[in-house]
Amino acid sequence: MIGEFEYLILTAAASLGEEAYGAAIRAGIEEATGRVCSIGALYTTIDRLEGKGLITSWMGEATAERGGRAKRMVRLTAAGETAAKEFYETVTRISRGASWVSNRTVVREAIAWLR
Amino acid sequence: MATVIVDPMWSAAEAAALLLPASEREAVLGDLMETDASGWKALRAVIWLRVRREVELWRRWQPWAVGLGLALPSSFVLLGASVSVAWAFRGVLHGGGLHPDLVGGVLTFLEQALLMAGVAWCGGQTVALLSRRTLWTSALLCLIPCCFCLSRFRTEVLSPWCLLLFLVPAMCGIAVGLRRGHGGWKVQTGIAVFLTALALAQWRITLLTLCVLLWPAWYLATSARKTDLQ
Repeated sequence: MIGEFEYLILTAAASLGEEAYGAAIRAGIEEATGRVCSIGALYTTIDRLEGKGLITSWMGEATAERGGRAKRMVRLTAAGETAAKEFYETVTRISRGASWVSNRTVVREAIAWLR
Repeated sequence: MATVIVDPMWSAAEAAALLLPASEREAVLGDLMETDASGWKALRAVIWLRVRREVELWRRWQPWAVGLGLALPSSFVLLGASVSVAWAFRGVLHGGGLHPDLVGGVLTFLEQALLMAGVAWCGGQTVALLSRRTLWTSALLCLIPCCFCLSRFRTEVLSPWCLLLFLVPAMCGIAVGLRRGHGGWKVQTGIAVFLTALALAQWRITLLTLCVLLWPAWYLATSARKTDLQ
């Protein structure tokens, strides 16, 4: 099974679709987690994911805001989507019954009842 | 074309990025520029990435086997073997070697030279095959015993540089390993058998030393066999 950070990268890349590249994935992870995502961690994990066949990457276009430097574009493979889905389902399954999940479920049910 | 930045820290970051592969350098510096990272932050990010890359390499068994199981111990043994070869050669040229007759002296020299060259060659080839990305570490681990022995080698009849004779076949082995990998399994097995026979005949060595010297030759033979079967 993939790790937490690997899952974050896969999910951020999937959400970004055709616009998934280093800086955008990093921004997505930082926004979602509220934690700093280092370039070192990002690129070594992208390499690992590529080695596992969960993503493919290639050099994309260069833009002026990047000082004329190319982007490293990322796309999930079918195996990557399956691995991310498995991770999500496992986390969801294991979380059932946890106090914070139950509370959230109660609140969600209350909101649904009020509507 | 890449934009030129005048911030000295950014220049340092760009210089540090030379340690990264070209495509990665492009992507990383571009990402840092896009996010308006300061020069200091960019330098730190690049160095950290390089460090992580190195750490990732050392999570596999190969660099450890090559560094601590081959480069370091084999260098010590091959330094001694190089001196033996130089000593035997001197014996052939000037007399006074292990054998008083010329033919015996030449044979001893050839046996020792072939064994030393073969072991060093196979060692270099194995280093290149198993862990080409940590070559610099293996080189450093080989250099430590060399410097240690060079600083202590004192004899009037032999130059201290004779200690480093083994480096020539070792570097040839590395070059071949980087370019072609290994040869056919019959050739590699033949070399391994030949070196084992030479080692058993030549040196009064312990089993441990024998293993340290010969495992690269047998690794190459096994690896070539696997490749042929595939």
